[in-house]
Amino acid sequence: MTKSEFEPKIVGFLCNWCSYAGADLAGVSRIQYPPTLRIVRVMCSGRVDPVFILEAFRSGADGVLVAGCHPGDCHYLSGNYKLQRRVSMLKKVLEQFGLEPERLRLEWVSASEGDRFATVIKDMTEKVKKLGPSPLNNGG
Amino acid sequence: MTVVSSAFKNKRRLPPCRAACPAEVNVQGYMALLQQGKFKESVELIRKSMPFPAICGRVCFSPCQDACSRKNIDQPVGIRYLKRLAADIEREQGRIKPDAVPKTHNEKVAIIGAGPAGLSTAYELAKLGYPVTVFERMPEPGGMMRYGIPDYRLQKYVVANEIAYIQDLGVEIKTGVEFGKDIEIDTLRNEGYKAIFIANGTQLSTKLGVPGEDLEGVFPAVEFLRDVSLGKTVDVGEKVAVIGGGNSAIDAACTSLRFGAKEVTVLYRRSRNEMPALPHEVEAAEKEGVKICFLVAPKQIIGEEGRVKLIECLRMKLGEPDASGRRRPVPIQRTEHTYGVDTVIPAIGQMPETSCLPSILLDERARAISVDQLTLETKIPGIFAGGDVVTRPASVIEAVGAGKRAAVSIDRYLNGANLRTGREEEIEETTWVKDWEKITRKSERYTAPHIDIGRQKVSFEKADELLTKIKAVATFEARRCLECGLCTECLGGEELCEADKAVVDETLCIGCNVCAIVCPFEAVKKNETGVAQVNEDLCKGCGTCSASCPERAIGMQRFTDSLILTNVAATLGEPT
Repeated sequence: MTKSEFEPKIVGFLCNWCSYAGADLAGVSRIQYPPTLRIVRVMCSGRVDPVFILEAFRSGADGVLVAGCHPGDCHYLSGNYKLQRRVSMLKKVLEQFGLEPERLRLEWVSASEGDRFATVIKDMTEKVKKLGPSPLNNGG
Repeated sequence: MTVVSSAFKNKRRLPPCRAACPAEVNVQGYMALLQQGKFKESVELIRKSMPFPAICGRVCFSPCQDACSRKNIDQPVGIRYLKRLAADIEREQGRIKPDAVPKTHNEKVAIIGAGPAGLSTAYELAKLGYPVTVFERMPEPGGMMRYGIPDYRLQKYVVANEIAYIQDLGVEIKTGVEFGKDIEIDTLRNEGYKAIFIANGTQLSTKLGVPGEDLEGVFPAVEFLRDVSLGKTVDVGEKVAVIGGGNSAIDAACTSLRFGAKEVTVLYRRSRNEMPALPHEVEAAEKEGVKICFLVAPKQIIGEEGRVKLIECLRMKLGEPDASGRRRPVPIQRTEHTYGVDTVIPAIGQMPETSCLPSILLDERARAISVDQLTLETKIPGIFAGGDVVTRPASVIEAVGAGKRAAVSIDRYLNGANLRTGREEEIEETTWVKDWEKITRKSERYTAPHIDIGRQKVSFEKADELLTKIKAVATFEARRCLECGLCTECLGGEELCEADKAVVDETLCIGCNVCAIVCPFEAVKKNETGVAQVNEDLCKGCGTCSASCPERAIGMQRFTDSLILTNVAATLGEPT
C-alpha cells in the first residue's frame, strides 16, 4: 500500500448534544468533508473511557477523534473537562506504545458549528495521511 | 427505549415550571424537543397535557416562567413565546388532522359551556373514549377565549383551529343551546347523559354600585368585548373611562382605542403594584396611548338627557392589607373631581349567571357553584362543575387545570371507582442545581426586535429565510433551559427518550469514591456498606462515572461498554 492511495480510518467519538448535532448540521448543510470518519455516538464526551480509544486503535483505526461541547457548555456541566484530562494522559500512553500522539485528537464542536466540524475532519484526515497507516494496523 | 419505571411516576417530583402550571404542561419536555428543532413533536407533547398550545402561547399568564430556575442566573426561559412559536409553525405548515378516538365507552357525558374548562374536559374524556357533547349558548364555541379576549391578543382563527382539533377527536359541540332554557339537568338525564359537567363561566359584569350606572353610554366590559367579538359596531365616542385594573379593563381600553376613541383613561383604585392585569399588557396599553390613573374610584356617573356626560371620582389611599393580601383602598374625603366622558366601561369583575342553576348547587351566598375542591363534584352525584363558575374569573390555564381534574373524576364516577383515592398527592419541586454561582454559561434571554410586519410586503423567499432564522433563535432560546427536572421528565418518558442510567456492579466496587467526585449531579454516593450507589432521580446518564471507574464497576444501561466497543469494531470492520 503506497502512501498516495492511503485513506485513513478515523473513529470519532461524538457527544450527543453538541458534536453529534454539529456533524448532523454539516450533513444537512451539505458541507463536503472526507469520508474518513466513522462516528460512534456517546451521550457525553465524559463517557469516553480510555479503553474505548485504545480499543479503537487496536481494532485498526489510524486516528481517533473525540469531540465534545465547548468548555462551559457541557450538557452535563463538566464531562468535557474530565475528557480533557484523560486525553492528555492518554497521549503519553500512546507514545509509550509507539503511536504518534497526533493520532488522537480532542476538539470542541458545538451543535451550530457544522462548517467547523467539516474543517476539523479535513485537517485531521490530512495530518493522519501524512503520518501514514497506524503501526498497529500493518501487523505491528 | 424508555427508562421510566412505575416507581418514578408515583414520586411526583416535578421541575418548578411544571409544578407551577395548573395543567402540568411538560415544559422541560418540549424545551428538549425544541432544542432539536422538533416543533411539531413539541406541540404534540403539549397536547398530551392540554389542547390549547397556541392560545396559551398568546394569553397565558405563564406561571411556568415565573417559577423558572433560570431566574436565579439571568432571566427565565421565554417559555410562552416558544410555545406560541411552536404552535404557530405547526398550524401554518398544516396541522395533521388527528384520527377520531374510537368510542370505547357507552356512557354519554354532557358538558355545559364550550369555554376552556368545558372544552378541556371534553378533550380529556374524548381521549378516554367517551361520547361527549358540549352545549354552548353562543353561536361559536370558545367561551371567553372567543368572546372575552379581543382579536389583537388572540385571533379568532387560532381559537377556531384549536377547537377544530378537539372536534376532530370526536367531540360533538352544539352551539346556540342555552342551559336553563333549551336544556336542563333533568332533560339531559332523560336523554341518557350519565354525567354532566357545568362550566358556564362568569357571564355577568359586577355592578359598580354607584348612581348613574343605568345611563346610556355605560357598557360593562364583558358585554362590550362580547359585542365587539360578535362583530357589532359599538360607538364609544371620543373620551372613554375604563374602571378597573384587570385584564378585561386593559382589553376594553385598547379595544376602545381601536374603535376610534381619542382619549382612553383607565381608573384604578389601587396602585400599579396591585394591578391584576399582566404587566406586559399594561405596558403595551400605555405605549398605545392608554392613560392609567391610579388611586381613583368612581363616586357617581352624571348624565345629561339620559346619556353619560361626566364621571365623578374620589381619590384613594392604601390602607391595611385585605383578605386577598393586597392593600385595601380607602377613600380620601372631599377629593371629588370630575372627568368629561362619552363612555364608561366598568370592568371590576364578573359573576356567574346563577339564575339558570338549581339552588342546591350554589354556595351559601348563591354567587358561585360550590364543589369539592379535589374532585369538583357538586352536591348532586354525577354533576360536576369547574372553571370560572366555581373559582370566579381566573385564567385559561386554570380553567384547563380544572377541566383535567373534572375529567378524571367523571371517568372514575362512570366506572364506579372512588373519586378521591390517590389524588391528594404531594408535588415536590426538583432541581439538580445546588449552587447557582457554579453555572457559568450565562446567556441573556432573546428579546425580539419590534417589527411592524403588518405593513411590510415580504416575498416567500424572504419569509422562508426569516422563518429559518426564527427557528434557529428559538432552538437557542430553548437551550437556555437548565433541565432542572428528572431525566425522565425530559421527554415525558416517551419512546423518543434517549436517556441513559448508570448501574453499579457491587461485587466489583472497591469504594474508592472516584465516581462520587466526578459526578456533576451528585447522583452517585457511597452507601453505608461502602459501595457506590446511584440515585436514579438525579442521574442524567452522562456516563462520566462509568468512564472514570478504575474497577469498571459502573456500567451504563443503554450505552454499555460492549455496545460502544461493538460500534467501534463495526465502523472499522475486521482489522486488516
